[in-house]
Amino acid sequence: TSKNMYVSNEMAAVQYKLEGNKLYAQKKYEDAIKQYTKAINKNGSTSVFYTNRALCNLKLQRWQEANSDCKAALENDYQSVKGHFFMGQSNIELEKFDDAIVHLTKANELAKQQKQNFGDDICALLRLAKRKKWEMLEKERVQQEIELQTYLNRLMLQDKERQGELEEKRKEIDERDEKCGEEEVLKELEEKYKTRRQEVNDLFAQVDERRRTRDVPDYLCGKISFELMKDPVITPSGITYERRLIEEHIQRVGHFDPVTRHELKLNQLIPNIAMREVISNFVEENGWVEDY
Amino acid sequence: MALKRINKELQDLSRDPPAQCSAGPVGDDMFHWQASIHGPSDSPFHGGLFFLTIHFPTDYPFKPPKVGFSTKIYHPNINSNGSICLDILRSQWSPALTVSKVLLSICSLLNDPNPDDPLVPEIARVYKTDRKKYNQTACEWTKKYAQP
Repeated sequence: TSKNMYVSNEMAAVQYKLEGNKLYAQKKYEDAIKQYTKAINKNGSTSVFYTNRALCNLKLQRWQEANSDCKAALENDYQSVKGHFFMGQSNIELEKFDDAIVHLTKANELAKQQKQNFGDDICALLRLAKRKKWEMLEKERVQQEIELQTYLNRLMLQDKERQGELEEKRKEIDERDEKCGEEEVLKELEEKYKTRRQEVNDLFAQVDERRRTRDVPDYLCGKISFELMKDPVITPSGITYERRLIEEHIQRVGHFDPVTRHELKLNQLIPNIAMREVISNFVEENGWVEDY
Repeated sequence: MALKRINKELQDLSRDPPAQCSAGPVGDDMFHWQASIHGPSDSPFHGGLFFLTIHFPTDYPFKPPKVGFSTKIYHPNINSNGSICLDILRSQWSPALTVSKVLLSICSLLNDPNPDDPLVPEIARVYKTDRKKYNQTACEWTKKYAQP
């Protein structure tokens, strides 16, 4: 009967999947893909078959194929953490950073909801996507600045030349005018042009310099790690630390505030929300810190 | 964590070095540094250049760095092995302290020995009872062992 047919297809598909998993463990990705494809042919509505094949494609750096697999996986199960996770990964490689950020954010949410532990893997990839996006935008900004600078320099040169021509014409019309010699005017024009060009180029150099000397301000860094904080907490002494590290300090070193040496207990740590907002704002505006 | 923090300290040291001190890794191993201190001008160590070794534990900054003199020095709180008796390097260590702050503390220890908690009781005794002789010996040792 058709029901039996369905059951046997289902069982065959699972069998293919298991075969694929074995091959995957042996790093035989090509062969594993064949098995997963067989599984999908028997049963095209199981999300895991697609995400497993996507992972093989990622290993083989076939980003587009991995991407299509993830799409199919999510069509069958939009709550698939791996579907979003691998989708994000392939999107990064395909330089679709906005899509990558959307899917990785979703993967992160779902992993929390479903209590699946991916360690820092999803977050690390999310930070990478954000930084890559920022780098891409930064590259565009630099390109635009260079074009603008070139354009302005050309404009200034053209303006100088035009004014010089005007001056020559004026001289032709009024040849007796000796109060203001032509040479003097041209010299003045040349000076003005040089000053303007210098000013414009200095301005662009400043922008460039600021871009090169990037630094995280000390006041955003924890007093133990000396790094940008992620979860800042404040002590009764008013000093702010990264939560993980001040907790470790209290447990391992002693019950005191490292900076002021005042007594300090675990339950006295208070989330420093204002600091967290300042930091997230800083990260937002300075994409280069994302992999921090 | 330890390596990142050590790197950050090195960066800060090169940007804003403490007076009379310098420090940096010996080779490729970031956990092994050498430091130097110029003898404070109003001490018998004036004119001397003293070298120190610094070893960072893997769980730095939760544990203090091991700091010792490699240059011989005549001081009640520093013994012939170069070991330093300084509270912040032992019980009073705090992860908010840095190499820079430790070196500054050692500088002030050179200025103001702590004879009541001596590592070399004999030198402490001389320091307490015959300051002139202490200064003289410290000065001689400086000339003999700590010439830059």
